[in-house]
Formats: sequence, structure tokens, C-alpha cells
Amino acid sequence: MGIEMISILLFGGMFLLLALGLPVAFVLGGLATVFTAVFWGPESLFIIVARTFSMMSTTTLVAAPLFVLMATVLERSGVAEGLYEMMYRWSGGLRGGLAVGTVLACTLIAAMSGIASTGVVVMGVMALPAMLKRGYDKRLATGCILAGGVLGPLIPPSISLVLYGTIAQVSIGGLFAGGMGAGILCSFLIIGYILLRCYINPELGPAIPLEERADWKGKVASLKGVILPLLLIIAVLGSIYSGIATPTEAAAVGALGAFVCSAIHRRLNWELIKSVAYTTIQVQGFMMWILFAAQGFAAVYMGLGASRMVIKLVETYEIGWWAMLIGIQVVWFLLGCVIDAWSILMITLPILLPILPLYGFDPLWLGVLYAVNTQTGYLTPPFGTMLFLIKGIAPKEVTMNDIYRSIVPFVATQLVCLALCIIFPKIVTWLPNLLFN
Amino acid sequence: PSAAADKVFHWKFQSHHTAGSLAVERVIKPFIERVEKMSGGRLKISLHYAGELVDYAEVDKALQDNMIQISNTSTLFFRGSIPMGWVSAPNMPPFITRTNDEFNELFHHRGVDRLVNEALEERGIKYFGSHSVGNTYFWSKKPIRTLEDLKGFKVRFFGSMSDFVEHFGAAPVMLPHPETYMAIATGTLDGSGTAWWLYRDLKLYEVCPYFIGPAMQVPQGMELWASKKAWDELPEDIQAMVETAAHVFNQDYMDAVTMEEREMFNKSFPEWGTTYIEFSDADVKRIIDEFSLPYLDKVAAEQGPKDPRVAEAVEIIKQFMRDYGYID
Amino acid sequence: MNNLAGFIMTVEKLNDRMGKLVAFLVYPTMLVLVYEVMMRYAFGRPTIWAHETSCMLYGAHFILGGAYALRHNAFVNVEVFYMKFPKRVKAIIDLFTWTMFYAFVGVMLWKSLPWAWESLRVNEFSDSTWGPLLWPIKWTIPIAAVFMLLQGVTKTIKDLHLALTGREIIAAADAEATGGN
Ligand code: NA
Ligand code: NA
Repeated sequence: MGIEMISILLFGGMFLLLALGLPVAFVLGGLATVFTAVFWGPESLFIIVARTFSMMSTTTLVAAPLFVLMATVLERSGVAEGLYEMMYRWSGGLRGGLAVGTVLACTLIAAMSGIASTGVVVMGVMALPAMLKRGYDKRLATGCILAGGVLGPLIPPSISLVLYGTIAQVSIGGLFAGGMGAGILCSFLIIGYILLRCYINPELGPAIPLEERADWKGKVASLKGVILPLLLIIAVLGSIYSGIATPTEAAAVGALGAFVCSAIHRRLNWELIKSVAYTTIQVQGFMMWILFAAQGFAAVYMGLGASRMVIKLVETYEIGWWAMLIGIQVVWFLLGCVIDAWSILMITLPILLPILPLYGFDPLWLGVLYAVNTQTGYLTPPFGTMLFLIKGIAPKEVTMNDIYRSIVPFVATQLVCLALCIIFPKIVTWLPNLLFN
Repeated sequence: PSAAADKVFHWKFQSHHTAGSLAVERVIKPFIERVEKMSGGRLKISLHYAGELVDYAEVDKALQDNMIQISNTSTLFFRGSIPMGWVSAPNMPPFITRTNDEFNELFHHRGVDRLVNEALEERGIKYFGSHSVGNTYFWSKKPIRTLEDLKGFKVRFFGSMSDFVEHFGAAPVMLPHPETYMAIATGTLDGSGTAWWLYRDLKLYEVCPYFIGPAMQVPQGMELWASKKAWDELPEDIQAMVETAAHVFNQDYMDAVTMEEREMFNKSFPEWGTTYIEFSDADVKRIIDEFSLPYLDKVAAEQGPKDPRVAEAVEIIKQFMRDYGYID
Repeated sequence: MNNLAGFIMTVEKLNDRMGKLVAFLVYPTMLVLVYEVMMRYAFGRPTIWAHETSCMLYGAHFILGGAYALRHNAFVNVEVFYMKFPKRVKAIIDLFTWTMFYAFVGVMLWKSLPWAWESLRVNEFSDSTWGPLLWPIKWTIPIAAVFMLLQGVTKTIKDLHLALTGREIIAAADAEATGGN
């Protein structure tokens, strides 16, 4: 059977099983198993174990449970609530102020962590309840966390960009600088959308009613809620950029710091230590099972010849500069709907590398476009890891349907960001040129 | 001429290199094309880049199961379960062989490869010998002129090399690989080391202006393995073709890394502003006497009881060094 | 029915115990890394073991945590269509779709057992400079798969009971227990 037919069966099976409500991890893992046995041969089934064990040996992912821990401690010990109370009071008459604050916080978190799940988990745990409590629309609240969270692999440090730089042999420092420009633009676009949308529909992100607005004394008093989180952010970011710790280690420092904050709030006790550990393992348990099942799925798809199919497609048609560029973006976007960002790189980059010089694409610029583009992949159905992640931590009232709908305007915003980076390449290239030339 | 003569075989090649790397473009792809051409299309090989199907740590099992059929890897990665990994080419302590010819002699003609082959054959792996992946150096943010300068030097190194720098007071840091660049840029690390072309390809010259020699492993070696099951299924004539192509693979790799290393020294270093520094002859002598020899003896003492071939290999290596006047 | 309900409750209790125990692995993961930062930055003496240790702890944490997450229905699914089905229909659908769960986790157990066993047999060490024993972490995969399968079986029993009788097994068992008193 040809890879085209296998692709149809594989993704058809995925849509069907997802629609029938089987948990995502088992859809991906089960299909990987069955397709390996049938098309690759039962002797290859060890791949399931191999992918699981390599995920368990991926040192850069150690940061994941630590950030979950950090967020949970900050939420349970009331530190997060203090932070949001402050934001709420200061945003006063500004509609959508809390959502804007959330996106800014996500941008800072993106500068601490190299993966997408950090921002989503941290803000999903801390910001979502705080916004819902103050009458924010659940779709707006969920969407802005998702969109802000996936800035993680775009703003440095970024594991995706390191991977791209290694394969395409592009300066990783340059890619980081380029990702910074695109990431900040994207963050501003998200904030712009929120402000505009809440200005038009005030009920989505209500301002504080006039009679409840805090006076200056109340505003200043609320500032003490921000001191601890701010110190924690400075500690984590500072330890990374001053060379004291790597991003993975900084996650551990941050988690310990969160416990220190909870102690200062006099909330540190055995009950807290137990309950945050239980929450962390639940989130971690299902999240990592999805991730390595997805890895197995991608490995099987590649083992059955996915890259050969894409090469054939490219070779069949003679394509001009713009058509090629847009073609690449469309392929990345569509692949993003069904597989993860790293697998996309593995499938497409080997095919793209030889043809880049023919078209004169700047590989650094293309790398940043890759990072901007695949941000959408974390959010687009049917397979968007972050959608499932936030479903796992959000309050019950937020349904999967809400989550699917919440991302529509934000994916559109990301595509606007992508278009701007394509039309004005300087957005991406001016900072790397400044630093490295 | 039976039906088997026309049968087309499909192999999967799992590399631990990424797309576009020197190994892939100059060595692996030509190897695959050569095999396909020689066999008249009867053996087709699909190439899979680092981590695509299985990670480097699982290729032995994947080959045994015949899930993949061929891979460039190293016994070093399995030294925790295959004692011969301790004396495989990439785990050589510094300054054993000093030229490509010496490497050929030690591994291909004096018997080290024969011993590795025996160990791998027992595990269902067909072995095609050691090949060069380029000379081993290290690079740094600050000048390292003498062994004294290694004190407190925070460096990411591998295998025996990590033990070597630690012996002279450096602090080997075990960081996740993707974090190396950032770690050096921010100062978490002072430098790192491995085959020279990673300095070029990972753009580490952007953060490390000092390149330190002389090359500590000439060259760093890796190995080409195949699945014994898949190998036994091949008709004899195709087996002979793969053997020949594997020979060329080893030669291609050595030629490519040797030529490109020269080019980097002559052309790229001035462009990058890289300063090349060498340890003195006296320091090299100290490294051999105080580290390399005791290291080999320690390996023989610790691993010899598990596999007598290790002790035999150490004897071969020491005899080689005596013959070349590197030790007394 | 009482036996089956008893089995379900035993498995759930077992997975709760296991999960709550494994949950605490996150603390050594954190402390080991903080220790590494401190030793390297303040004393210039990085360890060779901290990153590998934290990685092993994290690996054991999430792989063994799977069954706990499953026991608490934390595995996310797409409920857009699914939520519209009546309970009994859901149970019937699940009886079919969860064969994928058994294929996946079953193969994981089948393929990891000889692999972990081989590692134990040769007393395998890691290839790193530190070189710790490797088999304990490899054994977490078959163990995790067993706990996962047990939890999956409880779900299938529940589904089967609901599909056949239209009633939920645990509620039914409670009623029977009350009735007996
Ligand atoms: Na980031
Ligand atoms: Na997606």
C-alpha cells in the first residue's frame, strides 16, 4: 500500500477515534501501534517503547513538571490571586485589562521557558480562575492564555529554534534575536486584538464598576501583592540571562522560590506540599503520555515514508518564489493541524534545505517564520496539544467546544503576525543584523 | 538464478546526524546512492535523520529486532552494557593515535576492530568497522594555554574526554545538548568540545573565540552497524557490494572531515576571529603519562573481568604506543 | 457483581496509593537541580550526576503517574460529539474504541518486559560520565503499563456492565450492599 493511502487511513482513523471520544493519548498511541504492526511489521513494535524511553530521557523537558509545580504553589498559596487583584484594581476602567496583563505575563514566561506548555499551564492554573471570577468571557480568557502561552517556542530560549538552527546550520543566537522581534510583535497584536474586542463588546472583559473602583490608596495597597511574584520573575529570568542557571535549572529555582513565597504568605504547610504534588502528577501524567504517544505516531508516519511523499509532491510541480514561500507556509500550517512542531521540522526541513539556495530564502528568516507558523499548530484542531492541556487544568465549566472556539481569533492574529513577518522581513532580521554583523 | 536474485530489499538507515550535516551530505547520501547503483536497484535504503525513528541509545535493540537495518553509531553509546565500548574509537583517551594512518593501523590492522566485531556479532549486529568523524578539539570563551588554565573551566565534553579535563581540574558540566549554545553565551559554561565541525555547524565560534589543540583524538571514531538478520537475508553478491560501499563510506568520511578541517583553519578562523592555541609538548607528555595511560589501565582492570577482550585491546593499544615512541 | 465492584475499588485504591507516592518525586527533581546550580555557581564544583538524576526522576514521575491520571479521568478527550451521546451509548462506543488503549499499552508491556529484563540481566549502566545503573528506570515502563492496564480493565468492566444492564456497576453494588444489611 502506498504512503498516500496510508496517510488517508491514518488521519481518517485519527479523526474518527477523536470524534468518538477516545482520549487523545490512546488515539495516537493506538494508531501508532496498529499501523506499525500492519505496515511496518510486528518486529518493529519496539518503537512504542523506544519513543517512550527517549521521552523519559529528554533532559530539556524536566522543566515541565517544575513549572507546573511552581504555578500550582503560587495559585494555592494566594500569591497569584494577589497579583490578579493588583492588575484588576490598576486596570480600573480599562476593558480587558486582566487579559492584557495575562498576555504580558505569558510573554515574560516565554522568555523563561523553551517550550509551549509552560505558559499555558502556569497561566491556566493561575489566571483562568482569576479572570472567570471577575466576569471575563470564558472563551476570551481561555484564548488569550493559549495564544500567550504558545509564544514560548518563539521568544528565546526556544527548543524549536535550537533544533532548526542545528539542522539548517543557522546561527542560534541570530534565530533567538529574530524570534524576539517576531514574538514581541505577536504579543502586541494579541493585546491589540483584546483591547479592540473588549472595547466593542464590554461584557467580554468587564471593567470594574465605577463605584467599586479603588482609590489611590487601595491601588497602592494592592501593589504589595505584586512584590513577591515580581521578585520571583526577576530571580528566574535573572538567573538565566546572567548565566547562573540554564532554563531547565531556572525552572527548579522558580519552583523552590514559589514555596518561599508561600512561606512568606504563611500558607506553607504539609497540606500544601501534598496537594500541589498530587495536582502536578495528574497534569504531568496525562500531558507526557500525550506527548510520547504523539512522538510514536510521528515516528511511525515517517518510518512508513511520509518524507518521500512530500519530496515527490515538491518535485512534481515547478514553483515560483512567492508560490514556494506561501506553499511552505500552507504545508506547515496544515501539518500543524495534525502533528507536533518538532515532527514538522523533521519531515519538511530535509526536503527544504537543498532547495533554499535555489530560491534565495534567508534561512534565518525562514526559521523564524517556522516558529511563528507552527505556533498555530499547538492550537489548531484536531490535534493541538495545548488545547488538550488547558482542558485538563481548566474549571469544568470550560468545555472542549469553548476551547475550540476560543482560539479562532487568536490563530487569525498569529497568521497576521506571520503575514507581517513575510511582507516586512526587517521585523525578523533587524535585531540579528544589529547584534551579529 | 532463483527468484531471490531479483528480489528488491528495502533498508532503513537511522543516522544520529541531522539533515544537511557534513556526515549526511558528504558520506551517508553517497553511500546510499552507491549501494543502490551497484546493486542495480535491488537494495534500496531510506535515510532517517537523528531521532526520527529511534534515538541513538536504542539503535542496538532496533537493529537486533530488524526494525531498522543500518545505522551509524558507536559502541561508546552502549559501554554501560557492552564492555568493549570502553575501548571503542570515540572513547580513546587523548593522544593515542596522531594521524589518520595511525588510526587505520591501530583499528583496522592491529586488531581493535576485530575485537569490537566479535563483541557485536554476539549481539546480532553486523559490524563494518570504525571510521573517522573528525579530530577532537575543544573551544572556550577564554584562552587556555596550559594545563593550569583548565582549573575551574566549566566545559561540556563527552566520554573519556570529560574524565581527562576533570583530571586536570576542570569542571565537566553535564548539560542537555540543546542548551549548550545558550549556556555558553550566558556564561553558564566556559566552553565545550567534540569533533571540530560542531564548532562550525553549531556556530559556537560566535560565543567561543578560542580553539584549543593539538587535536586530542586523531580522529574521533564512530562505527557503521547493520542488523544481522537483514544482513543474512541478502544474497552474497549484494553483501559484497555493501561491504565495498561501507569501505568507501569510511574513506569518504575521513577525507571529507580532513579536507574541511584544513579549510576551517585556513579560511574560516580569520573570518570568525578565532584564535588557535596549542598545549606545549611538555603538557601533551603530561596528559599521556598522568591521564591517558592510567585511564587505559583502569579500563582494563574494571572492564577486563567482564570481557577479556577489553584487556586484550588495551594491550594492543599500549604496544602500538610503544612502537611509535609515545610511551616507554 | 460484588466481586467485580470489589476488584474495581481495589485497583482504584492501589492506583491512588501508587500515584500519591510517585507524586513526591517532583520534590527531589527540583532539589537536585537547585543543588547543581548552587554547587556550580557558588562553589565552582558542578556535579556529574544532577541532570541525569533529575531526568530519571522526572521520567519515573510521569510514566508511573499515568495510571493515577487515568484513575482520575484526567486523560483529555474531544467531547464535542461524544458529550451528546446517552451514557449507555457512550459505554458501547468505548468498548470498541478502548481496544486501541489495550493495543497501545499492551504492546508497551509486551515489548518493554524483555527489554527491561535484558537490562537487569547484564546489569546495564548508563553510557554517561557518571554512569549510574540503568535498569531501575527501564523497569518503570513495564510497571507503569501494568498499573495502566489494570485501571483500563476497571473502565471496561464498568462499560460492559452499563452496556448490558443499563445500570452503573458501582452504584448497583452499593445498592446491593445496602440491601443486604
Ligand atoms: Na521561550
Ligand atoms: Na494542531
